[in-house]
Order: sequence, then C-alpha cells, then structure tokens
Amino acid sequence: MGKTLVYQILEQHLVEGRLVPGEEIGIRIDQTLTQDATGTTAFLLFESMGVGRVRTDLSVSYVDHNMAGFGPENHNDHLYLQTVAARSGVYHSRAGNGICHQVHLERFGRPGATLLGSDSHTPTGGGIGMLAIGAGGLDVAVAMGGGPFYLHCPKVLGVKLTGRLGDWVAAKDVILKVLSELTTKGNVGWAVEYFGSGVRNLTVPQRATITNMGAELGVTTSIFGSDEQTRKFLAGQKREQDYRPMAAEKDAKYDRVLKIDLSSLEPMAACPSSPDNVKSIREIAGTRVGQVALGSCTNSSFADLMMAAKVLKGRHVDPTVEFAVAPGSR
Amino acid sequence: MLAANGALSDLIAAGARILESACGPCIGQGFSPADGTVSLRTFNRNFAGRTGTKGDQVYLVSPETAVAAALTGKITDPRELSAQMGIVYPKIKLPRQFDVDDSMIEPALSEEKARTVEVLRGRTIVVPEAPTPLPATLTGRVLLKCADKITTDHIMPAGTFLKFRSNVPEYAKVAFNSFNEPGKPTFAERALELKGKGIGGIIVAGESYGQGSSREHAALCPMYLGVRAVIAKSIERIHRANLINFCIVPIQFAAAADYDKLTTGDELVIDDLLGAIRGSDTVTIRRKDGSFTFTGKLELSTRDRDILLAAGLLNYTRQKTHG
Repeated sequence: MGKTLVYQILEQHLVEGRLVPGEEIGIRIDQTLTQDATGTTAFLLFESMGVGRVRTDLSVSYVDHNMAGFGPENHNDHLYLQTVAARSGVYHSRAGNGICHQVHLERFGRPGATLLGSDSHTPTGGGIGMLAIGAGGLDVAVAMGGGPFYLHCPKVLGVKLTGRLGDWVAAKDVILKVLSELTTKGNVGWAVEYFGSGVRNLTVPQRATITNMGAELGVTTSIFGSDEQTRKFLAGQKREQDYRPMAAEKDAKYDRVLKIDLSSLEPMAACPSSPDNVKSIREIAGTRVGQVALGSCTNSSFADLMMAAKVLKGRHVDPTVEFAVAPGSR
Repeated sequence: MLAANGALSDLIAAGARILESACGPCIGQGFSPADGTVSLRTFNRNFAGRTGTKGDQVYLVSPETAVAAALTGKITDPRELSAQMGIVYPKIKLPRQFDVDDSMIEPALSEEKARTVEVLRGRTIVVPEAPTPLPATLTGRVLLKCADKITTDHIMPAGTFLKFRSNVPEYAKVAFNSFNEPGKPTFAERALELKGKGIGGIIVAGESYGQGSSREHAALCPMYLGVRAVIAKSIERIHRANLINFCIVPIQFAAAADYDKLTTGDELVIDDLLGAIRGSDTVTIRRKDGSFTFTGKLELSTRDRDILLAAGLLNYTRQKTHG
C-alpha cells in the first residue's frame, strides 16, 4: 500500500513513536514561525531554556498582530522581538512587512519540510507542500531549542479535486465547500491531503487559501503536493533551488475520501456566525451590505488584490459601503 | 508590487481604504462594523463578536464576491457583474517574477555577531522564572478551593489584562481575580507570601478544572506564584498538559467525596512525592495535623513523569538535547 504525502513527511521526520493513527509521536521540526501576540511568551520561554541559539534550520519571528500601539506595550514587544531574534539566530520580519503566513509562504516555505508556528493558521504553508502545524508558544520554544514536537499521529482524509474553477469562482469557494461537508466539529486527529487532476489547475496562493482556512475544520493540518505550479511559484520568488516534487504514492490509501469537482462549484459564503454555516451566494443575494474587507492571511495574495483592482479600475465603491483593503505582504 | 504597477492607485481611486499590511480587522484590530449592519470579509473566522461589535453579522466570502458587493452595495453573485455591468472576469496570471524585496526582513546573524546584540527589554518585558525542581516531600497549603468548571479565564483573565502577557509577574497579580474580595489579600499576594516561606501552593478544585482556552499563562502564572499541585475531581486535557509542562503536579481525587473534607488554608503533606512520580499511580496526602488522610491518583505517562522530574518541559528538553 502506497504512502500518503502526510505519512511520507512524518516518516522522514519521525524521532519517537510509531506511525499508527492515534499514537503519540515526536517529529523533528525544520522551521518555526512566531507572531508577536504569542511570540513574546515563546521567546521568553526559549530564553529560559538557556540554549542560546535556535537549533532549527530556520526560525522566523513576525510582527503583524498588535500594531495599534495604545500605550507602550505593543512597541516594547516589537523591540524585544527584534533584538531577541538577532541574539538567537532568528530572522525577524518587521512591523509593516506583512502577515506571517503569507510572507512565510512567499519567502521561506519549502516543500517536504516541517513547520511549527505559534498561530492556528500556520497550515497556510501546506499550500507549498509543507507539513505546517499550529501549536502553543511553549511547543514552539521547545522546537526552537531542538526538541521534537509531540502530536497524535493523524488519520488522513483525502480530498480529490477534479475539473477547473469557473470564472468568478475562487479557491475560497473550494474551502467553503469543504467546510460545508465536514463542518468545524469532529475532525480532531485528522489531516487533510488534496489530490487529483484538479490540483494542477490551482496556483500555490490558491492552495494556500484552502490550507489556511482548513484550520477552521479543527484538523491537525492540510497539505497539497508539490508540482510544476510549486516550481513556478518558487522560481518567481527566486527560490527555485527550494523546489522538490512531492506527491502521494500512486496506490496511497486514505482513511476517508471526499470528492469535489471544481467545475461544479459556485460562489459561496460562510454566514453568521460560524465558518461552516455555508450557503450559496444565490441564496442570500440582495442582502444590504455596510462594509466589505479584503485581506487577511486567507485572501490577500497578488492575484486576489490584482483581480479587485482590475474590476474596480475606473469604477467607484457603492456609497453605502465602506471598503477596506489590508494587503498580506508588500 | 501593486504600488509599482498602478493597481494600488486604482483601488484608492475607487474609494478603498488602504490599511497597513498586517492582520488588522481579522483579529479585531479596528474596522468594526456599525450596529445592525452586514459585513462581508475575505477572512477565515466569523465567530460572534470577533469584529469588536456585539451582534455582528459577518459573511466570509471570496475576493470576487467581496468586490461585487463593494460595487453594488448588496450581496451579489460575482458572475452577475458580467451580465449587469459588462465586466469581463480578469484572469490574473501569477507574474513569472515577483518583485522580491527582503529589506524588511532582518536575516539571522552569525554566532559571533549575535553575541554582541543587546536584547531590549522594555519595562513591560519580563523573563519568567523557570520552575524549580519538585521537593522530595511536598509541604503545602490549600490556597484556594474552587468549584466545578473553572476555566482558564477564571485562572488568568484575558480582556484588558492581555497586554501584560509579556510580563508574568505583572499578569500573575490578577490570577483567580474573580475570587478576590475587596479589602482582603489577593490570591497572588497570599501565594507569594507562602512561596517566600518555602511552602508550596495547592489548588483544590471540582470537575473539569482548566477548561476553555488553551492559554499557557493559566499554568505559567500559578507556577510563578509557587503553586506546586492541583488536586481536582477531574482536569481538562490541554490544561493538564500545560500544568505538567510548568512542573505543577496534576492529582485527581481517588474518592470524589474527599473534596468536601478540604478547605482553603488546610496544610497538606505529600510524603515521597518524587518517589510516587517515579513509579506509582497514587499518592497519599495527609493533613499536617494528622486529622485526615486521603488518596490521590496520578494519571501520568512515562514522558509526563520525566517532565515533572526534570522540573518542567523546558528543562526536560534542555537536558535531552544537551545529553
């Protein structure tokens, strides 16, 4: 029986335990990311370990959460994070550079590597073929110190994608469809792996939208393989040397399979107040809207913003709407 | 890139409010919607109140659907933009080459250079103490007896206190805040007094202690305050792991009725605690005055035991990686 992509990466990083669903395993962590809201605690704990310098291949500290600066605490945090990163052999992405997950995907993500982040949307990195997992600050501190990350070996749910997205239908509609099927509950202990002929029609940022919001399923992580799309994306980021093809083995067996035909999808929305309360836009069309916000680590890639700019060029936002754009990276 | 190719100007000209490149409204940092209005967002979470507006109505949508609503003022199937407004769907190809600019990313320094860096710790940044090793015999006092379903919010309140998360001694002052009474010493004051005398703090609780948010400060702050054991009818899974990680021993009552016999202020002794952690599934706990003895259960994996014996997860990891 062939191995899924998730199990291939787990096997390559296994340091303790057996790869049997439900058993506790320890895996080696190649990369870590932290953001400022959880990062100060992670670094304070890392400092108390007294190991001095990080022992990962790469650790990056981002500032993107607490930016408002009412009172000195936020800026004190930023200065601490900047200098403790310099002291500990850690990269530091300064306030203003962008959202951790998007910047990490663009500048550091590497197919086949493991990434542990002190933020629940760390699985964004699954879009580039990383096994990317969100965890607590202490877990990340331990990983920075060279310790393994312990988790329950997941079952793997395969999502088979076929076809191609129609005009005006987006990667967001794919993950909304998945959320409508699997809901936000009952998925603990699973990892989601996307495969099938439709995958090659999705770019890396589109895949990252899907794995990012996969966090709302409550799963350990979500992942795509690494293919020609991945190579092109990395080449565009001047990082073609990080490319490595990754895919599930031919006869890989998934614990459960969900099939989605991309061609059949239509625009959808997660209605108030849960990400799995999904309806088609047709069902709710006509509802008055007071504000619209474009951005976040889910949907603020180059293509997302360019699409918006092209549609809006020479036109004006409706006077009843406040429209905000928060780009994910510069 | 959008600034260079003119797209940013198009967005601004259309009336978009450009926010900084950060999480912003997605984590409730501004752009809260007006009361009773609908907000369309391309984000990933729409839990009630996350925007900062009570009763908010947030729909999570694609950028295409978001733009359609921005143009029309109502939820609109973006496919109608072609029919209604004659807009051709702009298929965006990823550029062959992105404008790569890492000037805002400071690379990792060499070991030699890193050593010369002074870490800036503003007065709000305080390194938490590491846990000290557990004593062979624990002599402690019940700091607080609380009921069922104590959440991590009861243990460490969030809200306006959250900005103290980089400062454990400051944040710890509000531990178990909702149990403090005006005019009487707080939980933190009583705990620190005991810690100063070398007496361990003990928390006694009912069912499901530590439920809710997984925040580590709910173990980190009590550890700083000298708490060494939690004796409860049951302890929630994630919080239990956090307690072990910060070297606080989670103990369950073997007989739930023993909970009724304990009160705040009781002096308790656990003889040979370390021996029990090494190899037993139970501990014997006695009131120091000899008036009452009961059994506590230790439900610990081998790794849990090793972490407790090493004085917490950080020490455990340090010992393992240094051999």
